[in-house]
Amino acid sequence: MAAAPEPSDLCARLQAGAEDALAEAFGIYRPRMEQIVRLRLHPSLLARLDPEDVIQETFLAAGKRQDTFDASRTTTAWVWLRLVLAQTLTDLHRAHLGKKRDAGRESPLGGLPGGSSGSLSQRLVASVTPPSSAAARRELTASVHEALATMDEIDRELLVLRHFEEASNREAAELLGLPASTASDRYLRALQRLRAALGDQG
Amino acid sequence: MSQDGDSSLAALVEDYVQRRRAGEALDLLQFAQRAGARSAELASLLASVDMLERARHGGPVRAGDRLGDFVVRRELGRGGMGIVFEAEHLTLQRLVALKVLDAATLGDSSRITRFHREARAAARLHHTNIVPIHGTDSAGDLHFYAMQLIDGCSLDRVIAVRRDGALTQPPEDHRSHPVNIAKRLDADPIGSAVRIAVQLADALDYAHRLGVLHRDVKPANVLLDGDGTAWIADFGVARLLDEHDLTRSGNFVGTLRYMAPEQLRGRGDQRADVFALGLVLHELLTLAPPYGEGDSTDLLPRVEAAAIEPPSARNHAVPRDLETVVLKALAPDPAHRYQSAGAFAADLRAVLEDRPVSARRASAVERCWRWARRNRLVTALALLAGTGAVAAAALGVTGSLNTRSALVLAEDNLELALSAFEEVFASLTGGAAAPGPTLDDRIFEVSSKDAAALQQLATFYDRFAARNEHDARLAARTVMAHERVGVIHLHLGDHEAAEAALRRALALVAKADRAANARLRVELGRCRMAARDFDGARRELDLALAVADGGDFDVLRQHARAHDLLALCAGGRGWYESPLSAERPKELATGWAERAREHHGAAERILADLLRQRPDDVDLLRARAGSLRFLAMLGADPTHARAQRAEARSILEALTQRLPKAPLLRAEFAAVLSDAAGMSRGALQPGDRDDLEQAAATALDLAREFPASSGVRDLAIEVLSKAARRIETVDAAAGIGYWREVVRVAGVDAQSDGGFVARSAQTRVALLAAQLGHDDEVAAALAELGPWVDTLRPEDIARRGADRGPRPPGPPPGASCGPRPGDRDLPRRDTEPFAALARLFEARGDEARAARLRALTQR
Repeated sequence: MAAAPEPSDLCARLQAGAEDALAEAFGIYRPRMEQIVRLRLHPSLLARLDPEDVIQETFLAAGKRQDTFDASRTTTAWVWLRLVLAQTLTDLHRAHLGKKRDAGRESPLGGLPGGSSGSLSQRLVASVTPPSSAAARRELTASVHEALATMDEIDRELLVLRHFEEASNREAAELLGLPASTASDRYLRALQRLRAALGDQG
Repeated sequence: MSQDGDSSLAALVEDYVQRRRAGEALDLLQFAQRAGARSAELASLLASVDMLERARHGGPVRAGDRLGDFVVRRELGRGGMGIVFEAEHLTLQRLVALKVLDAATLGDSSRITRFHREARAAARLHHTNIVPIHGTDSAGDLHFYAMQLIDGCSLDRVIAVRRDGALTQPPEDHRSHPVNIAKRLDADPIGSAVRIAVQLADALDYAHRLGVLHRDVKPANVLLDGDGTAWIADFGVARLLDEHDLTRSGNFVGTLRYMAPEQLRGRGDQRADVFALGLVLHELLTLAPPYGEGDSTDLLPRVEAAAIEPPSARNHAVPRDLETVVLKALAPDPAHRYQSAGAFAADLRAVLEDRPVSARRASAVERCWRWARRNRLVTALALLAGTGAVAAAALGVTGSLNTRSALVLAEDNLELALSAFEEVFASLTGGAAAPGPTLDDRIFEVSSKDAAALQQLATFYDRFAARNEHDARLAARTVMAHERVGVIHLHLGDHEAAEAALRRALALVAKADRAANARLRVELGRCRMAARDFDGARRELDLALAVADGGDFDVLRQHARAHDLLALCAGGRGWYESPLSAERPKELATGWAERAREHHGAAERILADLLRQRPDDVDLLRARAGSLRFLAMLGADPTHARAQRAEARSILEALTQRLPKAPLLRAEFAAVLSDAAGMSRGALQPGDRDDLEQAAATALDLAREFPASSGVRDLAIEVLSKAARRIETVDAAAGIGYWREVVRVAGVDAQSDGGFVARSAQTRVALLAAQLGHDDEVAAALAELGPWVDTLRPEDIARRGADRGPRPPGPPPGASCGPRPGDRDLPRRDTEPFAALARLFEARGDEARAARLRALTQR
């Protein structure tokens, strides 16, 4: 489902401190946020936390930061919210997982891209192979997993952002702190690497 | 690779992605040609894109895929938790329905295990109305179960077609098409609904006896086939998948719509299934969701309180017995429902076969009281149903206080939360400043849904006040909170709790806040009156008047209220309990009329003044009309009284035209209409007759709309009696009609003093029937009156509208302190009807009763 463009005055209203602006933003982006939370929450957290809880925490955090919102620094309210969400996810992982977290696997955009290790790969593989050939799938999954794991973190994030979060190139670039053209190039390269890992499948 | 080449590839990829997401069907290779020399490269990129997009949307199963023993043929539909396919069972060579879920939806392995276990348990069920499950299996990441393929469609589609109309017409012989099914149901909407419910109840009963609960009965899980058979599907499994979301977020609107209240806490047994089936039946009868529309913030408090309107409110064709059965199935407390689906089925069959049902209705007062008392502590913030910015966003509220963040939010955004509450409070209590002294909260019982909501509001305010009492910055808010609690309790009939809260408010209120001081004193006055302590009430009201007004509108408004209430106090209990009556009760304090007149006069003057500032204010207008009405009835000068009555009447007439739906206004209008006409003597003028008829019609409408309100019933009896009494003098046939209505309205509540009012009215019916020569009616009336006559005592006839002695402990809450039927009846000292009745009995040869009546009337 393609995302509808945001109301053009939303950023201005957020900056002006209008209460209903934040509520409206949440109304618009809530479904997207929920999907992102489901995607990125560590599985043991998913059992304990409800995506709704995470969204509420994010709302609170956003509310506290609203007065530092600067419309000139961000193209859309979504980008700002997404960053707040990223911070919330990170904080939650830190709080709930403590020492057990594998900080190395965590994404700058919060949580784990694609959830548990390999599940992103599993998803990808599941989408191309007929489910009955289990052995072939296992092999393929391993190969995709390898490709994703050895990819630069930013590149992997680009794939996840562009396709699983339906971010535009510009939004993805903003979120990752890259110039737009760089983001675009790296995205293409990531696509190629993925393709290579899949071989003849798909 | 050149920079330009890269960016043009990037642009093409971008374009492809956008178009695919927009739903365009694109041929990858063809599209790739756009890259010219680099088309192979582009094709390769796009293949990745395809894969990513597909992974994103899930949907790993396509036609022709093989899952275990089955080959997928085509997709039949998508539910919240999986996709249903038509598939062929290879070994048995038959078509089945395959419900497929992927591991991501199922979550962790423990739930996957449960899924298979539930499916296996459901596979044990063999019943005509349960979709048989053949087995469960998994293939890789996918888990599925196979069930019988039913040629039909789901009930929610059929209901949607019946409600919204069909977009296309299928061929007639396509029996299982939703449109055709809908047509067959429409041919007999009530009967077909009950028959469907019976089948489902039988199925549930069977499953329950085998130890399997469904837990997610809803129209989407019910199938109707072309032969009229109803099937339940997805036993046990449906709930499993929703459970996780449900106990946390309450965001699962689709399932919230069909939940029993106890399921919100994760508790539910077979009676929850009964409840859910009740909801399905309700929806079949009304074609609307029983809990109403809205998102989860709206629905949650309604589910919590099981706030469901009776089906007849939407569909007048629903017979009373059927409604009683439905309401029993929908009782909020499981202990009051059918204890088994079998019992439900039995009563449904009774309805179909026109036999008596076992269900009995709880009286409205009982229900109302029970719910006000059994307050569950739903976080008060759950009441922010759609109000204010807060509800829109953060509060996907749950049923427990575990919503730490919601409470934190409330503290952070106090003003926001409080103002949202004010809106809710105002809508439930009709405004913070209750207007006139006579009718408002006493005439209309609080509905059980409102009582529950009010109780929760009171709890919130209470906690808020308790928490903030020591915070000087919040002093004004705390006072207001206590006051709100007080008003709510008064609304709910608990005047002791009300008084306690109001006194706390008074202790905290700033002396400088004159309006608040005056208002609190007035409310305390009302409390004292509710307790029948008129001296105490007078003290409070005098204190209210002692607050200097300094021209302040709000203070003056309270002064006017105080005066009107003091007028009522002047008459003491007798007057207080019969404010609608234009006839003066016997046992009143001496000189009361003058005092009452003075006070009403003072009130009226203040109100007239205030109206100069705000000429269109409904509250002021209504209050003034009330004062005028009372001045008219108390006045010594008939001409003056007529003028005052006429003015009151024209004010109320204008108000009812402005706000035709406001019940209080209509009630007062009916009362004032019948005042003048009812008091006229001599020949009945056509204008008076019109007024009486209009008043009677309004009163009957109100009685129909508020069947539970004792205040409305009393008004109706009063108005109808006046109409009957006057109209019978010129038109016996019309008069008898009104007396019959009095019998009907008054007779409903037999708990009042043996139905004296009804019997008296029945006496008039008998007399008029004799006059009109309706012998059958006379005989029938006498047959019913006979036993009553046997129990009559002299004091029954002599006593008119007087005090019946000390009130029973504790007023029935909700009924507040309204007048009781039987406290006012026929004109005073008029024993003539009884003498005439004696003659009727005599004519029928019933000497004993005739003699008895004659003896009683020798006074």
